[in-house]
Amino acid sequence: MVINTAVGVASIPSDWINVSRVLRLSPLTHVRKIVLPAAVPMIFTGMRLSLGVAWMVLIAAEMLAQNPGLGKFVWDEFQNGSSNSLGRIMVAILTIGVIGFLLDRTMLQLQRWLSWDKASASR
Amino acid sequence: MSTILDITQMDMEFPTPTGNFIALKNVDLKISKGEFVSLIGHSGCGKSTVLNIVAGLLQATKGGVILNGREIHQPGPDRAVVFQNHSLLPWLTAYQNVELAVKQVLSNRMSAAEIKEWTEHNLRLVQMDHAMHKLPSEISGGMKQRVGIARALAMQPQILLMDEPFGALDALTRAHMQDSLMVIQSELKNTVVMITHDVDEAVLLSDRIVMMTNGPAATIGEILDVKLERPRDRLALVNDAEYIGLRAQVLRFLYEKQRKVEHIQHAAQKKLDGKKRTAA
Repeated sequence: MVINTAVGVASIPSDWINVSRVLRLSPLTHVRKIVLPAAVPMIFTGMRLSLGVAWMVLIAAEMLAQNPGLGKFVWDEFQNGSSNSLGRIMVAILTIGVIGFLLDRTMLQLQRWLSWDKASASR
Repeated sequence: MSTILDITQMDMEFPTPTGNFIALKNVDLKISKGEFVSLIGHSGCGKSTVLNIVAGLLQATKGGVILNGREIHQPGPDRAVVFQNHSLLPWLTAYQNVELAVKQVLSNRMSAAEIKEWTEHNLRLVQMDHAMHKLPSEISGGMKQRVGIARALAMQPQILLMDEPFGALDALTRAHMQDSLMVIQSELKNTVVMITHDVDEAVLLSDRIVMMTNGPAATIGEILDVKLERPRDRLALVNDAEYIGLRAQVLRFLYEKQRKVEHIQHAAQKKLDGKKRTAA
């Protein structure tokens, strides 16, 4: 996400920078009025990517660290060998998938509200 | 008329891995108050570099630019720039784009109500008041460029710099924009420096046409005074002898004295020679 933000800031078209220079915007105004809005689409892309990774890592960490949660539930069911286990694991995996999907959609919705660039938020 | 802008003995070099590239050499130009000057020349001849130095976005290697008795070494709102591709901020509406400039430049002299009035006045001037609350992505290319001009005018600049302002527009829209620019210009009498590579545009709009030689080490080749009467009418001028003559002079400069095609032929010939040598 930091990398994405950095790339977003670095790739601001030089024309916008020139506009800011001709207007002699102060450094603070420059960041507030030009840099931040220009980088918002890239920041959101970074947030969506890292949210997906974070969710994946969270489940894996629960399996290893035995913290209560969906990951531990899958791990326990895998270990206890009951005939119902397979079904339970399937339900848990589907739940994990659905939650991950919902997290991503929520972030997308947030982007639609906050970002000016509606084209980059359509997918 | 008093000189407002004075470019003296200006050189511009760009450092490259194989030594310095001399883009401009000995550029000398004086521009009077209220004058409309066009810079014309083949692409890559350093027109934009001249404009960028005047704007303060680039620093000349040697020589300098004096605006109203003060040397230019950084960009500022007294030299408003209209960029080729409008460069409006896409997250702001047309109104907000102009307002940002007005607030930045004039907020110490104007009240909030006056800022609003002045912003709207400038948008009215370019006939964009009907769409002032639209985002740049919702209006056409010509309209965007109008807003860009409104933004520049709203800064109350001493000199207006235009870098191929209508270059990205289709021919009909461009003609329309030129007409409205002439109307605005007759009202405000701004000092304008415009870059173009459209010969008709240069003759139609300018008081003087500055023709630049080809780079590297480009400089001013000829300066042509355009004494056509104002207001100028595009249709009437088509058959006007003076207009045709001026147009021919510019064309002759560009295509006879400063032929760009020669380079291409030259390169092709070199390639051919090389091939012959390897064959032999």
